[in-house]
Amino acid sequence: MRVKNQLISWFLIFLAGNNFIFCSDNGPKEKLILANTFPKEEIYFKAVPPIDIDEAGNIYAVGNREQMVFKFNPEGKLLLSFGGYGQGPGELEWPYYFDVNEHIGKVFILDDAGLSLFSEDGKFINRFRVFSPALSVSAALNRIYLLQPTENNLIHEYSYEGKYINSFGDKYRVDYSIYKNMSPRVVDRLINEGSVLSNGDIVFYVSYLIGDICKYNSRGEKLGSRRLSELRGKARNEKIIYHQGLSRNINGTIPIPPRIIQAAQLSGGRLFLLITGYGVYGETEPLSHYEIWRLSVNSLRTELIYVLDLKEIEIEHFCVLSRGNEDTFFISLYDNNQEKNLIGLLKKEGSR
Amino acid sequence: MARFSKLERTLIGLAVLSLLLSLGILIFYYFVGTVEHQLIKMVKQDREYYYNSAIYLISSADTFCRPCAKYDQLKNNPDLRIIFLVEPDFSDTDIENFRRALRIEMNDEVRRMDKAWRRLYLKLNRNRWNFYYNFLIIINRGRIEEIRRF
Repeated sequence: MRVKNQLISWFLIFLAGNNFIFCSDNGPKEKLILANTFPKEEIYFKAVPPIDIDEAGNIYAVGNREQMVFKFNPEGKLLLSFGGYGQGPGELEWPYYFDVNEHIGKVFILDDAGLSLFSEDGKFINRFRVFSPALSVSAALNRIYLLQPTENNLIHEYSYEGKYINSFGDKYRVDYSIYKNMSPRVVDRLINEGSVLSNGDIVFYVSYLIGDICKYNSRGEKLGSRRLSELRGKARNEKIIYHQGLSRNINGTIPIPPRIIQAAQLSGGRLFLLITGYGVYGETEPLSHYEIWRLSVNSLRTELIYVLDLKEIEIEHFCVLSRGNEDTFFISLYDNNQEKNLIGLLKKEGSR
Repeated sequence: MARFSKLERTLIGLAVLSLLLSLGILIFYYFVGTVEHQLIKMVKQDREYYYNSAIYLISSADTFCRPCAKYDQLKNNPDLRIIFLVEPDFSDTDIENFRRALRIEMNDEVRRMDKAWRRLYLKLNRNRWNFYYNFLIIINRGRIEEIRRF
């Protein structure tokens, strides 16, 4: 019996050393509440807008159906908007993924026509075409990283002028034959869904369906990874992706497994993950339960867990400004009560 | 002729003239002004060059949902000249990225449309949704074999 216990303890130590953590309570927890929502009157978002934040705390929101980018101050007052439908310079065609680089003050927007660069005050700078649809964009120190699952790589590096520099990162490899009526390109795009994030020195890939974090240096060499095995939806998604496969519905749609991570952000030397209710509980029901995990960039260990229990609210995106020990969160959400797409400010419970 | 007054003769003349004019417009519309006619004219200008060729008119392509139609088959034909004509606002970097992403072989040409090709492209692309399609034109022994929209 003693030998058995010893073996179990050694096994657990081995797992912890490999970043395999089973326990969900792997960091202190704090509760967040929704303190304010905007815009009130002036804009009606037809879809939940992707959002990002700059160094001054201003919020940028991409109106995909409006084909515009809106800039709000931290109190939610509209400061400016830019874009407009079209393929010309400064115009946008179905924009979605974007990144605001807080250090250089530029906005990088991916749309059907390519990647456009704007200044913080909405002035068009440059645009280039990439010809391979990206799932995420991150910009840092004269480098743009795009998450584009291709035959061999996952992340592609470009200069601000659009010159291709490098490709790296391993995509998830599956047996394509278990995916019915789906081309390998579609499968790759589906299973590698996630976020690419960079602070200049390090590039991260966060997988939304499988829940892995991979860390690369600026040359594309892998530095480390963490499997978020404690997330309950992970095992189910892995079973679907690697063993069961998927097949198109009669109407051509694809039954995508629910995300366990909804979004990821990098700020103030920390990595933030928005974990869905499915990720936490492994069920499809608890939609309104979310957690934001704060991870150390160096060790990838969870420092703090923010718990959000927002009734009748579905979160699509979030952004964070992390300074010292102070984290400011904004979320973009669909409010089932108001039937509106809004942006919300989160505050710690009990704070002013 | 004497049976008609001067006014009647003028009216008949005008009627015949307008008939001829309408006929001319119809002929132009159905035969001369067609995309095929314009294309044949352009190909004839440089018959040797376009004799056996596949011309791609590209507005917006990508590897996911708008790859270059039939390229994988056509690139194996050594007798076929493959030409990619892209929108005039493609930068050199765009062309480089296009080649790399869509795996265009180095011996296949990629260049920007000139005015005549752009005019032809716009004519081909007329659609009620204002959607920018791409086109593949296959010319076999100087004759248009296929025009495909993708």
